[in-house]
Amino acid sequence: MLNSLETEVSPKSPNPLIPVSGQTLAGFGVAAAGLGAAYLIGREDAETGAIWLLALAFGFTLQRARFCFAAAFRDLFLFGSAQNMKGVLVGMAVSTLGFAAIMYWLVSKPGSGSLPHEAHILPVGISVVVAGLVFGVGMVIAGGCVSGTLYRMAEGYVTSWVTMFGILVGLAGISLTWNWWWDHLIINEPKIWLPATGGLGYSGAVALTLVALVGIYVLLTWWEARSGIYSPSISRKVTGIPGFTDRLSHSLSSVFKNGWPVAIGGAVLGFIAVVMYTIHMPLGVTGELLFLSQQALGVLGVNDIVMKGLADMGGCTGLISDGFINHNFAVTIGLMPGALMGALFAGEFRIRYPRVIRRYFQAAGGGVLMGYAAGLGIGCTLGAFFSAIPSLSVAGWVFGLSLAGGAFFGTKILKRLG
Amino acid sequence: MPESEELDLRGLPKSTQLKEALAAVKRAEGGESIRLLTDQEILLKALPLAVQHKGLKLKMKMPSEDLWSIGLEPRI
Repeated sequence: MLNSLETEVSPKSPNPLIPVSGQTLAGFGVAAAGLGAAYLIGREDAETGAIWLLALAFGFTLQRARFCFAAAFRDLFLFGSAQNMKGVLVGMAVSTLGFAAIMYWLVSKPGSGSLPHEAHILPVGISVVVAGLVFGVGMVIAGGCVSGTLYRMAEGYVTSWVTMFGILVGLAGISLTWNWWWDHLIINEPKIWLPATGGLGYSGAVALTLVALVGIYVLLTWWEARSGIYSPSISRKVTGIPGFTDRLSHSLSSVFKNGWPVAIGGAVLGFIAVVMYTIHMPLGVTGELLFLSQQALGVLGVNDIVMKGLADMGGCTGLISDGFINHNFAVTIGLMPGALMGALFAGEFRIRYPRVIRRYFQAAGGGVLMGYAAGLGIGCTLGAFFSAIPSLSVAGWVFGLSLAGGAFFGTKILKRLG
Repeated sequence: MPESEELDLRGLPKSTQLKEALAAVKRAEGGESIRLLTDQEILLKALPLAVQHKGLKLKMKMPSEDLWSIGLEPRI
């Protein structure tokens, strides 16, 4: 049974930004500060300034679409809902096309033995499976992935700040134990890049990836039909002929007030990822967090950490060394004012404390698991999944499947926790 | 055996979610079991009032900080 709701749009509907609320004013303030920072950063380095701007758009999109990988995987098993996962698939399909064009420009002959610079082509093996499983459990227990945690921090969720603390602890943990994983596993794990595999070339690899994404989309639709979950569709009933201000009001509401459909959010993120890669690198936030966790270790007296082999990896390695305000900093920290802007314009910013104390422990514990796994996988759901599959890397698929397995166990734990 | 329905209201405007939730209460009065997923906290305040004295059981769960699962069941 499908419901259809009607919302009335009358010519007298108020402009969502007029009268200007306190939150909207603060939103303009954050927007001005964000753009000012972009100008100042851009004066030092134009690329970093451009990445900062993209990060603002990235954070704004995450917040407006409530785009979260943890929700995408968790909802499949907890509610049978694939709404969020379909958005993820749309984003990856858009990125796949754009990344292929960029990678072709970088390496025109995929069989030549070289890999496109900065593409997230990561080692495939047991380390990726372990990373995916642990990350999947952690993100479901914590209630958000790494990028989801960053945008919720900006929205005022106190537990997300606790989750971030856990993520940094986990990343510090992998910094201290990475060399064991390297010596025993990762050193022997191959990087498998589809265009250079089995004579597929770019066209074959892109076709294979898109067919797989479409196939999963269809499978998810079946999964939803099986569970019986649905979202009501809304038809707009227009009363009277709307004037200029009403039309403008509707457009502003669609962008700044109402939540975006997650598929639109996914497509926008896919586009942002492509532009980001044309400037320097695909989307990823773990590298900067790894760097910050190592700075914290340095304060505690643990210095000179050397993670074997990491310099030769793509993905989120945190090894950009040109100053504190670099590309990794811009994309990771820059998404927060973007998300804050989104929350303020929508009137959704609020300091939110959890209702039960247990949430703090869940947030911290899940965060530690995610941090450790993101370091081991050389990326979180963003770097090792959302950016890896469009990089035509087999590791992205292995990480994704392992995430699904981890999320399945995570939801079992979540159900027990109540 | 009563019908069972699962309704995902996330991402819809607050007023729409409220309207749809109240419509779900009416259907639950008719004997259906309904589960609502919402990201709007206001439903947690509105629904307990709406189901008062209507012979319905209300079960709420919060799997993460911005998500609530609300079950509406007829008392048998």
